[in-house]
Amino acid sequence: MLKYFEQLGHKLIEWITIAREFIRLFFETVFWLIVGPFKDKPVNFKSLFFQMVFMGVNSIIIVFFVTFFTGVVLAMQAAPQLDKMGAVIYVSSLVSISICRELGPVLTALVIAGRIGAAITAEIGSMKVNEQIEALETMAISPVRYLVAPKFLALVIMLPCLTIIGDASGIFGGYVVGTTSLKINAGLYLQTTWKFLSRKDIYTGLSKSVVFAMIIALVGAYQGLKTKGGAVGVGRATTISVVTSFILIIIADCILTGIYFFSDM
Amino acid sequence: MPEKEIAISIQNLTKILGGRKVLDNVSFDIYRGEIFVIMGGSGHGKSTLLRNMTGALIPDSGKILFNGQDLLKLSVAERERVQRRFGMSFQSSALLDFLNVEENVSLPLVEHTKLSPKVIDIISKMKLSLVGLQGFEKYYPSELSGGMRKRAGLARAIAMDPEVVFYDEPTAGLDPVVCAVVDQLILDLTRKLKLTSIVVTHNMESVFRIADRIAMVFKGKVEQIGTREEIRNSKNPIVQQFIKGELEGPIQIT
Repeated sequence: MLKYFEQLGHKLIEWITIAREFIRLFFETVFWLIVGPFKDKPVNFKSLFFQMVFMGVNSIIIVFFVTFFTGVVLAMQAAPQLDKMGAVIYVSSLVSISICRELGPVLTALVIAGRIGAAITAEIGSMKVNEQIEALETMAISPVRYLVAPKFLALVIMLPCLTIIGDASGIFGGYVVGTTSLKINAGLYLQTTWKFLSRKDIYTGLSKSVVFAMIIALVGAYQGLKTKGGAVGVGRATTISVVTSFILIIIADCILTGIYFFSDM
Repeated sequence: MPEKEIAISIQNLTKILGGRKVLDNVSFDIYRGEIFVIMGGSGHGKSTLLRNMTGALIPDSGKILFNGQDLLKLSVAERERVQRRFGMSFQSSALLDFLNVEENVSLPLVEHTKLSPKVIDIISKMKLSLVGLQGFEKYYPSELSGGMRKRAGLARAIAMDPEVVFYDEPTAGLDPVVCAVVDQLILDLTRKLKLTSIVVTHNMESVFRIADRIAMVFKGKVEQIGTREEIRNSKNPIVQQFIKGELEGPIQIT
């Protein structure tokens, strides 16, 4: 019996250590982003730009497909139910609100966690395994400043942009179903889309995506920097990184939704 | 010969990794301008010893004096300033693979100096020609052979004109001729640039080619320190078994 408590205690200590290191990585990254320019060591512009293209521009197509078809499915699922009440026209507002508040930011973040979070971990992890991280440290170059900070900033800039694209393509997906198979007038469809969509729906969704971006970049970097044990280690770290990002994104989404839509009821 | 000046002094260094004493009360001095070779079997603590000196690991007890300054008592900023006078060549050469050779060599200069890009360009070209890699500036590490990567790593190690250069297995995985080239390079650089070189290796040929003094590390302790001749004629059975590569002897592989 005591053995189980002991194990539980060990696990708990391990988790607390991980949480502490993770929070420390966050503060170190933010420190370099804010203080770096004053210390004459701003984020490398070339690498920031490269990351923004890699993370943002190259992800547009996959984000479009995922959210577009989600919009299509949402409209198709909702239409028969609303039809029973004679309210087919409200398909448009149902799609736009659920996409902007919830599905756009979350689905985009999950796609990017799979695509970019994994890439961050694999890149930093194999650098760690090949002594490159140690080489940077030996040259007195902080790996957090040189490698993590540009990725973090690039993702925090690009994920909200991708989310806007995701929102738009989700609404477009609903629009395609609404105007073709549901035969709703195109102008009317768009009108009801805007009618019930408040500004708050959009900016809460975007602020969520900023938090998701931080989670993806930091989990990816943290797992990368912790990698050990050759190619197997890199593989393991990448898996853990993606899984952890997914879980943390959903938890953060739950908490933020609670704050935005539940607290002021 | 003038009085030998001590560059690095290791005093009673102990390091515990994973509950095992990897270094056990190690003490020795390294003189300025010499090539000091640390040899020993895999897993006996020679790389750990090197990493304690470069600052990648912090020892559990003991002192590391560099020019009389205790490195472990310095603040992070002071320590970083001292670290810039160190160069390190890694076993896997550890070039950043998203930068080309020239960018790799100039990285410490770009990060730590306010030199203009033109000057940095000239310096990195010069360092590359010192290791015989002129003309390969635009190549990426993955496009180079193992020996060339080692040499590019060396060029990066000397980019900041360090006082001390550490080499972790500089000849591991290279063919005998390239080994000889790298050894000659270490000799040339040490003499021409008046460096202090600390080499970790278990390649006996290169040990006796380059070393001014040799330390034999065994089970976390320094077994013997001496010149090439002293080590070659050593009465210590551990040293003899190691340099001759014999199966029978006090070193048991389990």
